[in-house]
Amino acid sequence: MSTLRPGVESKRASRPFYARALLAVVSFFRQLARHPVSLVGTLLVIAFVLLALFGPNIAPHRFDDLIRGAARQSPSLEFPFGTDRLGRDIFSRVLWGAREIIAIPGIATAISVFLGTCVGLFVGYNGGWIDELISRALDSLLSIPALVLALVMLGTIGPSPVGIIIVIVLLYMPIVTRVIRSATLNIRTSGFIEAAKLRGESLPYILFREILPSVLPALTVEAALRFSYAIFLTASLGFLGLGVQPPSPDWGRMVSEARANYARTPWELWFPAGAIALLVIGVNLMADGLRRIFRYEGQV
Amino acid sequence: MSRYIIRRLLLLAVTMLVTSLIIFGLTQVIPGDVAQLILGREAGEQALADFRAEFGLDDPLPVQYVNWLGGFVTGDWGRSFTSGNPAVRPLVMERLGNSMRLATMTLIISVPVSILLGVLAALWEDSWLDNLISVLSLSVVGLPEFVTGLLLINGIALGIKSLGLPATSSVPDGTLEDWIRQLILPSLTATFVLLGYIARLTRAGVLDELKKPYVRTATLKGLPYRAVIFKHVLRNALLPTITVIALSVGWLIGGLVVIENVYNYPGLGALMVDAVKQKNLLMLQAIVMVTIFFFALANLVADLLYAVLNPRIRLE
Repeated sequence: MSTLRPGVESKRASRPFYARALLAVVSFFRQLARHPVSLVGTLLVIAFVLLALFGPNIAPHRFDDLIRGAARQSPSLEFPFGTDRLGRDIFSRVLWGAREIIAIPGIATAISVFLGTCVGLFVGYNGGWIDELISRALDSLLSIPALVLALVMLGTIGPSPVGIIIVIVLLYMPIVTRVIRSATLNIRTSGFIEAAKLRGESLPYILFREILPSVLPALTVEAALRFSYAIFLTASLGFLGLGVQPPSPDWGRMVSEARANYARTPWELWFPAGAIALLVIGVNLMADGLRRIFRYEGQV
Repeated sequence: MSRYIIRRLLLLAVTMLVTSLIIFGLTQVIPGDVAQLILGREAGEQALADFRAEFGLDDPLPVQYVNWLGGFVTGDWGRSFTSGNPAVRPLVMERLGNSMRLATMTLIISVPVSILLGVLAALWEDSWLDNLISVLSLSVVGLPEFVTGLLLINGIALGIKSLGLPATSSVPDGTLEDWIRQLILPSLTATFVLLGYIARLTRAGVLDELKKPYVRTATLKGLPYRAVIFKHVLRNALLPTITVIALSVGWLIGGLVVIENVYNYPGLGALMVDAVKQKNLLMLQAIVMVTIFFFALANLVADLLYAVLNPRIRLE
C-alpha cells in the first residue's frame, strides 16, 4: 500500500475514472512482469475465465452430444482431446465444464469475501463483546476440518451448485473475517481514523472509505487464495461424486469416471485432470504474485 | 505447565461438546424420513415403525442427542443403518487403525524430505534450486490430491511396472516390504501436499534466523559454518516447522478423504464418503467425532511441543 505516492495520486485523481482504471491495470501488469512466473499465472487465470465465458460458444459439440460412430477416438484434429466410450467429444465437455468450475468457486469466493469483509471490518473496529462472541463462534467453526464439514453439509443439503456455494461460503467466510479483523485491529488506532471520528463521519464511511483501502492488500491476497482453495474443494467434491450432478460435465467427476476406462481411453483422464491442474496452478501463482506486489506476509 | 495442560484438556472437552452439537444438528437436517430412506420405498408401515423404534428416531431431538452423546462417551456408538446393522465402533476403529498406518508412512517420507529441501532452499537463497523448489511447492501444494495421485499411479507406477506396485492399496501385513508396497503411492501423494507447505515454512524460518545477530557472532568467533547451521540456526528455525508437522497429523488421520478414494484404501476418510452417500447417520456422526478429536489433539500437541522446545515461551 506504500507504493502510492501522494503526488502521483493527485495527478491521477484528475483523470476520468476509466483512465485511472486503465492506469491501475497497466501498473499492475508491470509489477507482475517483474516476476514472470506470476505473470504467467495471471494470464492463465484470465484465459480460463474467458473459457468459462465463451467456452460453450466455441465448443464444436454439446457436452452430451453422442457422436455416432466416434466412440473411443484418440486425440486427433477432429477431436483434439479424443472422445469417450459413449462418443462424446472430450474437448467440448472440458469447455462446457469450465463454466461451473470457475463460476461456483468464483461466486462462492465473492460472497465469502464480501460477507467476511463486512463482518471483519465491523468487529475489528468496534471490538467489545460482539467481537469476542463472533470470534469464538468462528473459532469453533474453524476447528472442524474443511473437507469433513463440507461432506457432512453436502450429505444433508444434497449435492447441487447452490449447495456447494453455501458450503464454501460457510467454510471460508470465517477465515476471511479473521484476516480482515486482524488487519483492521492493526490500524484502528491510527491518526486518520481518529480524525475521521472527530469529523463526525458515519460508521459506514469510516469502515469502507477509511479502513477498507488500508486492508485492501490483505483482502486481495486472501480473495485469490480463497478462490484457489474453493476450486480445489469443488473439484475434489466432484471427484468424490458429491459435486454437480450428471449430466453436466464436472471436471472432477470426469476424472473420477475416466479412471475405470484408463486402459482403453487414457485421454479421457489426461485432459480434464490437466485442465484442473493448470487452473489451480495459475490461481496459486497469481496469488503469490499479488502477495509480492503488496509485500503482504499473511498466512501461507 | 501442568495447569496449562489441564486447562487445554478442558478446552478440548468443550470443543468436542460444541462440535458434537453442530454435527448432531447438521445430520438432523437430512431431508426426508430416514427410515424410508434406509428401508426403501417398498417398506411397510410396520417395518418403518419398527426401524424408528429400534434406532430411537421417534424420540424428541434433545433426548436423541443426549442418548447419542451418552452412548458415545461410554463406548456404545450405535449400529450402522446399512444391511446387517453392524456395530459402528469396531468398524470405525478398524478404519482408524488403517488411517494411522498411512499417516505413519507419510510422516516417515515427508518430514525428512521437506525439511531438507526447505533448509537447502534457504541456505542457497535465490539459486536455481531455491527457485525450483519454490515453483514446485507453489504448484504442487494447490493441486487436488486426485490429480497428483492419478499422475503417480498412471505416470510412475505403470511406467515402472516391474516394481509391481498395486494401483489400489490394501492394508499392509506386518512385513516391511508389504508396508512399502501397499502404502508408498498414497503416502507419496500426501507427501506432495505436505511438502510444499513444510518446505516453504522451513525456508522462511531458516532465512529469518540467518539474519539474526547471534549467527554473525557465531561466525565471527570462528565457528565452522556447519556448526553455525546445525548447532545454532536449525535449532531455532525448525520450531514453527515442528508445530506444523504436529498439526498435519490431524489432517493425515481424518482428512485423506480424496487420497483414500483414489487408491481405494480402506481408511477413515473413505468410510466417511460411504456414510455420506448412504445417509448412514450414526456412522457419519462417529467418524466426524473421531476426526475432530484427532484434529483438536494434534492442535494441543503442537502447542505443547512448541512450549517444550522453546523454553522462552511461558504457558500460563
